Amino acid sequence: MSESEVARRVRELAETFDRSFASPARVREDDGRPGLAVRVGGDPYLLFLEGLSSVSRKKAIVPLPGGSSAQLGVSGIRGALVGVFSLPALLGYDVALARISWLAVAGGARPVALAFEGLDGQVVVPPSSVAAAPSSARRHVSGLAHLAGEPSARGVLDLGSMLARIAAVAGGE
Amino acid sequence: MAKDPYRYFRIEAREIVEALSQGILELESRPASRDARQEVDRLLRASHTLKGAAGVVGQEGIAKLAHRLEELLAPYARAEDAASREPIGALLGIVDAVAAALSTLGTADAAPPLRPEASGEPREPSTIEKTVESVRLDLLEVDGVLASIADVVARLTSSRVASASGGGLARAELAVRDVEAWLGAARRAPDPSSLDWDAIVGTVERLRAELHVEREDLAGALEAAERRAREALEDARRLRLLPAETLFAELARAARDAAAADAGAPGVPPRPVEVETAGGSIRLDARVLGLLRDALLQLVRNAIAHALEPEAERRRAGKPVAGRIAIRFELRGARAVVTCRDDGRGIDLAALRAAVVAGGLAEEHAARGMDVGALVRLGMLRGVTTRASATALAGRGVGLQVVGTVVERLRGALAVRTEPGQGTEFELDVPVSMTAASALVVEAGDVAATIPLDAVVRTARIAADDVARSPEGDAISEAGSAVSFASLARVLRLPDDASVRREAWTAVLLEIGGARAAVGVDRILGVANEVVLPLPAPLVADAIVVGASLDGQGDPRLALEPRALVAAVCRLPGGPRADAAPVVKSVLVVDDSLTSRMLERTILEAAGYDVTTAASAEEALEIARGRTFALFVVDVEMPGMSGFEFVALTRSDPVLSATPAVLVTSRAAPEDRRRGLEAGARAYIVKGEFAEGEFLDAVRRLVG
Repeated sequence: MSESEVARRVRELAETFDRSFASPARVREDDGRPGLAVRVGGDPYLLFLEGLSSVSRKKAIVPLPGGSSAQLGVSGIRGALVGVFSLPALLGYDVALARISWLAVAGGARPVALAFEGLDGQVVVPPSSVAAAPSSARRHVSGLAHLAGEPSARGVLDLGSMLARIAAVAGGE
Repeated sequence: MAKDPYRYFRIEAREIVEALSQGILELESRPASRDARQEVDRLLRASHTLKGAAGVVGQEGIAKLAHRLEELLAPYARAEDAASREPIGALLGIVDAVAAALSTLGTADAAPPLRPEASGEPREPSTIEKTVESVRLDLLEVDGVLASIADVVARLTSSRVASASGGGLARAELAVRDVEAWLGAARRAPDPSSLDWDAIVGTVERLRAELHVEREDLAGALEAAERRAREALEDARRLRLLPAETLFAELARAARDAAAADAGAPGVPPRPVEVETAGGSIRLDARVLGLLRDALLQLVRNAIAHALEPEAERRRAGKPVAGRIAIRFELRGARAVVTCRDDGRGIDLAALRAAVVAGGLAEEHAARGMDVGALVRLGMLRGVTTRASATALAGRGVGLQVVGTVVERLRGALAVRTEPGQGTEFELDVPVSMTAASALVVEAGDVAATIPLDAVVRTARIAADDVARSPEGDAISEAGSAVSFASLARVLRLPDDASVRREAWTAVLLEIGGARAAVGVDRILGVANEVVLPLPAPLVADAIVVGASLDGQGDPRLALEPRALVAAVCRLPGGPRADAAPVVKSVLVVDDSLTSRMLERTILEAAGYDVTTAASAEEALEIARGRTFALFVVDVEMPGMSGFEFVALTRSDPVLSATPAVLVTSRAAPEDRRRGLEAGARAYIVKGEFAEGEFLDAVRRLVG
């Protein structure tokens, strides 16, 4: 690496560093979309951050008599009542409540919390690394994300599809 | 805008007026009792306070009225002055005059009327907007809001937030400056390789770690502050909630006024009417309560004008002389139900039908097919009356229209039940977005729940033996009669209902609408007056759960609906008997053959046993010493220790000998069988003769 290259890299680093503090977090479309690498039913999945308002460790979930098998109960999140639904159950897995550790809150004005077992981390997913989901994919999986350094692809979860399903079941379908 | 000089006087005076009104009615119902004497003392003190306060703000008119009231009250304090007492109506008239003066205070120059009007003419209902201009606040509740806000402030200035914004972030900033300085030096350095890259990378890593910790801390503190801010908001909203009992004095007064007006001739004492009230602690939004008040005033007046018979008629019918009007507030989930029931003559259906037809509201044949509810609802559209001549009180058909408007504005429903000669019940059922009621807080399993206190008769500690079990349903004995019983965990369908093997419960005896039941809970956490929030969509729950409140940690407490709860307990078939509890028996299968192990495991698991397997006797010994089994199922021929040796060894062990052993083998020789039984095996099953049924029979004989 030549001297000018090193100086340029150092300058870039410094500028990037400054920018990251000076401006609110933003992601350009061509940089990729931020997402959460999650574990559901022991398998790796990807949940894009758009549409999520918070991710937190599991809180007390109070079960309710009635409701679908995906409905785990009600939690108090930031002083409001929020319905908690099982991501594993929505995807067709059978996972004990005790193994659930995380809640991702989605839905805006009418929040819904989706519960899952593990959070592998936060990632930025370039558009080029997402392929269409095979026909054999589980329900609510809209694509496959191949992340750098990971041996197997992650199923990309379709938040809208899951919320629609939850609403439809609640509505008596 | 000029400051209102009467602001505090108005608040105080209104409270005194309400207390005076209520107290004078009490006095009328019990004029000669010892309590009455105390009541008069209280009324005299209240009048005196009012006189003094009015004098302070220069309201001489009100002060004179209060003085006059004192004069009229004085003879009520002494029995010997009974003859010189003015009628109760005169006292109430003065209170009305004070109320009228207060309503114009500071808004008009008009002086309050000095001479009270004691005509008994019912006051027109004030507009709803007028009734909710101001609400009285419970100081404890105001303190609650202040405490919540103080807590938010404390959290925002907490050490965690302070350390993040002060210490931690300051350190991060310093580290950034270090990196900046190094990078600046790098730009100028003739030889970049001389830079201490390890230091730069190390600093950036530390910086990242520090920022991560600070971010987590800050997020945690802000989340807690946000939660408390929401709670403070809920507390503040709760200030809009008023207890239903706020209306009771006014309704009692309206009943008296209506009875006086209906008496006809002036000076004739009003017909005796008793107003019973229930559910006064239920808190509803002031706007909702204001509208319900208007409807109830009309229903009370209607009952007196149309339903309650004159004394002579009531005597002939064998009824108590005093007519009875019962008003009850009740919460049914996210709905408030208000009933107004009288013990009068019932609605004259033929007359109502005729009035509906005469009013052009329905064709005669259509009216014939309508029940009382439909006819009344129709009557609400346009005032109908069954009364031949209008009086000041009723007969214009306006009352029903008012009730109809209220039901419509609150998007509620009206049900009417009537029985000739027995009485009529109007039931207003209106949705409420937020309610609060005193509730018993209980715990079942890990779930905390609240039960409205109005529905709780009492709680008692009961033993498992106190529960009479039957397939139709369990029951406990309460005052000599059987009351349906179920554990709350079972009613809520909680997983792992440990109640089956419980030795005792705290039973909560419930009664609502004449139905009774008892629920067993793990413990009682206390009594709370909590704001119940409806369950947010898309959650779905049985009718038992109508919402939830949030406890101090921000976790939900389920709000239970007592009617649905009682119905659910009564519907449940008998719970599992304690002595027939499905205890899962554990069996240890020891066999070096995978096929045999899996075959035996499959058979045993299908029969409901919990099966553990071991591939050798040595492994089995290790497992058996770690936990207790109901049975060992052991192969004879195994590498290492044989089945015979395993059985003999475990028989000589003081702990393991408690577990019976069965030998399963391909050796069918009689001497082998004998040897096995001598070693201590309780059964000897030959694999060649292996039959599932026989195998299970042997197992069941030994462990059940």
